[in-house]
Amino acid sequence: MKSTKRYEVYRTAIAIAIALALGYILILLSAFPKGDMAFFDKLKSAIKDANDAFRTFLISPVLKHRRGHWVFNLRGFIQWINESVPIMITGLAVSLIFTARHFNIGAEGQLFLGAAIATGAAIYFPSIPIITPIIVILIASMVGAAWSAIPGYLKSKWNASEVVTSLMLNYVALYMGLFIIKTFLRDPNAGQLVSLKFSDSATLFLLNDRYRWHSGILIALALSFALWFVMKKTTWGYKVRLIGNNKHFAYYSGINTQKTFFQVHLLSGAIAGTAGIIELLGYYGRFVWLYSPGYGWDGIIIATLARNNPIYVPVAALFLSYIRVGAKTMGRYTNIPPEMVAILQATIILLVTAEAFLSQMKQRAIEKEAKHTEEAIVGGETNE
Amino acid sequence: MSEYVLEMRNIWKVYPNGVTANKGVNLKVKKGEIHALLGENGAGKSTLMKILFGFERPTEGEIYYNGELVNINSPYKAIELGIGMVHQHFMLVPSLTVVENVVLGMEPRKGLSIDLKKSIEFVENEMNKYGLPVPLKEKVKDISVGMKQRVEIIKTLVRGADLIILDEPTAVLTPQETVELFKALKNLTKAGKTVIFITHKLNEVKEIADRITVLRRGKTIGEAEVKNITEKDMSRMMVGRDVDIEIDKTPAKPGKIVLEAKNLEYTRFDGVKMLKGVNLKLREGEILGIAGVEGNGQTELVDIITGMDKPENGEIFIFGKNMKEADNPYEFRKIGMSFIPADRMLHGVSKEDTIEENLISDRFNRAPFSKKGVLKYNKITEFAKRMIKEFDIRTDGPKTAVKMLSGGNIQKVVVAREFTSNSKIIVADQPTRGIDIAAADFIRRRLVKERDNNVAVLLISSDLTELLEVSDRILVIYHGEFVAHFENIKEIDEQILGEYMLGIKKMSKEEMGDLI
Repeated sequence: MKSTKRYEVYRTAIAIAIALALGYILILLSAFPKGDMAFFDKLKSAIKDANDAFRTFLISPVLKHRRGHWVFNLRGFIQWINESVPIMITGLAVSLIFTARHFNIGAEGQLFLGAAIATGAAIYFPSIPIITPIIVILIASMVGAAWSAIPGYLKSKWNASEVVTSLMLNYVALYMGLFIIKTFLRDPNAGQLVSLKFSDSATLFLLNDRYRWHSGILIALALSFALWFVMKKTTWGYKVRLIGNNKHFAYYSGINTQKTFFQVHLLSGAIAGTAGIIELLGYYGRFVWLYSPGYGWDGIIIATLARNNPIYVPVAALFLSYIRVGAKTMGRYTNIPPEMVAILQATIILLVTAEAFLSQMKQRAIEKEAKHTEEAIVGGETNE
Repeated sequence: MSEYVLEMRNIWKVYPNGVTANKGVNLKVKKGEIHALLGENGAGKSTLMKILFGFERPTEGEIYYNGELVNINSPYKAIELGIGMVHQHFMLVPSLTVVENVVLGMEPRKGLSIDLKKSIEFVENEMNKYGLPVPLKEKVKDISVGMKQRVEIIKTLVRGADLIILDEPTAVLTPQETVELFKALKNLTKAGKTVIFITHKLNEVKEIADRITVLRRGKTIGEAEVKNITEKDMSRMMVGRDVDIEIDKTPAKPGKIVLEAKNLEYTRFDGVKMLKGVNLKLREGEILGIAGVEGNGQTELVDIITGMDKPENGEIFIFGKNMKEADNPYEFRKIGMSFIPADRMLHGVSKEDTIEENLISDRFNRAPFSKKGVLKYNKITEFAKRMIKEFDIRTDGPKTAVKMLSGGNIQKVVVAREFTSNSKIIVADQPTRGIDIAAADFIRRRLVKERDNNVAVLLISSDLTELLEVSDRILVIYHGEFVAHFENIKEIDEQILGEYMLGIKKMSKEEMGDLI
């Protein structure tokens, strides 16, 4: 048990290290200058540029260079934290549903539709401080739950694959959400398709006005802790873990598995539904998306990295947003496209989820340990 | 060349989950003998044979076959060398005929299709050579278990096997079928074949084997000529101490009827009628045993009685309450039933979860294990520690994952939970299958103890010795109906049960009495 856990940590760390090394190589390749220099000079120049770019990539979310000194980069830091909020929340939603071994991958649609409908409330609802944002978030949450209930219901009623139904419903949610914004909530004075501005009291409390550090991070962290508590300490969480690990055993033990599965879909949808509106309330102050923001998919990456454990979700979300913010900054200062971070993400996920990766190392460790224990026993073994 | 056809030297096998199944095992087999590989469940017999047949790679060790060092990295290689294996679970295609099954993968062709005539000739030839008649044109799904096993043996023979491994071949057979099998095995050795026979039944070893090798906890304990060793010595080598398998048991004092099944019918998904109007009455303070060849409706009966499935027709009454409306095992548990399932890994435990979490799966909602929906882990751990002690579960502690335990200890987790739920009815389906003697003995004694506490026990078992030893009454099931009822266990033996199990004999309604 212990050695398995330690091995999971190693595996994640090594996956990240390999991905970063790959990132460096990619940067190096794209930094190769054109022209008729000697190869060695080209290489030298590329290494120098790549080192600069890679350094920017690695540290820009927290440090910046000013007048020959490294100083704290408040703007980068806030951007880092802000970007982690929606993906932290979807990460929680996905890790919950994955714990029950159901693969509802509809978080993207849940958050989009939740945000679109709640936008109406955020614009037109009477402006009461504190109360209004809570109500708006709850509305988004209920929309998310309802949207997630559809594949949940189809699964329990007709055993329809929740993977397919939730995936398809993402498109329905996207176009329905856009329809709502375009038809009812559009700001006719804005130059592009955005909603009207939210009422003043609907927006989230700001921790820093200048760079709009909003309090969404506090909500996300509180949610992480709450979900961790529910999963590890309550009877409901116990049921969910049990049906996820062996639903036949859960049924045999007298647990109503269908009902619990359905509840999981509801709660997961309720969490995912808030991910979009929290970012809109906190940062943009209006609905701004013309297409799916992709946070639902990020949630899958984060749940995978966090091994579906809510307490590790913030760490995984902060890591992912860190390399993304770093890549964006690097993209501003160099001509290396920030999209290269997608290759890093893919590499990490591939290596983390590939069971066989480093499994030989694990097997050797197990064999060594097993033989070691045996040999230790042999000397002292009596009959029984 | 040495006198041994096969030598396995210092074989180690560590599975990916950390279980060490073989710890430096040595095995030597002489040509033309029947060699019994003896050991308790979990001693490493099956693993050793899987290595020999190329299903598993050894972590360490060498195999010499006909004096040559060989590297058996796949079953193909094993077959090529002349090693054949008959598995406990048959590897046959039920919808094909016997002859098609035998030649599958090596069939003589005629154009694009099988040359059936040639195939039959070919198989008949082998069949007669070893005196192993099988019905060649019948479909495999229509023949008996004993026949299927024979088909498996012929399959190995036509592939040129000189060394045949049989993995617990008698576990699925009735006493009559076992006799037939032993005759066939003797014929094989007369024809110069070598047989490795895996078993944990000592009387069989005495009857058929020439030499034995005993394994215990993954190690070779010793080898011997069967004629020089007593059953008692063998059992001591196997278990590591003297075993007393006799259970002291007072006569049952049955009370009122607590469970009644009326006219249960059930049709399986493939249209086969598994239960044809089964009646059953179970009284408190008695152990009712159900005997039968596997697949005669026991699984379906147990599923219905425990609420895992619903009957097509018929009714269940528990403490007089009709369970028609109950559509979840929860209702059955609530009313006072507990259930030891036959497949412990599927239904009995969640292997990824800890021992303590597995012990509370039916009671986590109650005090003292939870309060207002929050689990009380200190109480749970305390309870689990008590269970580990009381049921002698060998483990590091209550927070160990169940998958780290041996089969016997996993079963103890299951029975610890089911025996402590204050139930008045216990349904035990194959409660001792695949576990070591000590654990099995413990569970049997505990069943008798529960009976003495006025609990009603329904015991379904394919181990006839166990049934005869533990039960107060025995019902025999054949083709979805009860064909015999014995209220006086002392008067019957395995042979008698076997005749009813095979459908050779059948009692009339009057003979069976009114407790059915």
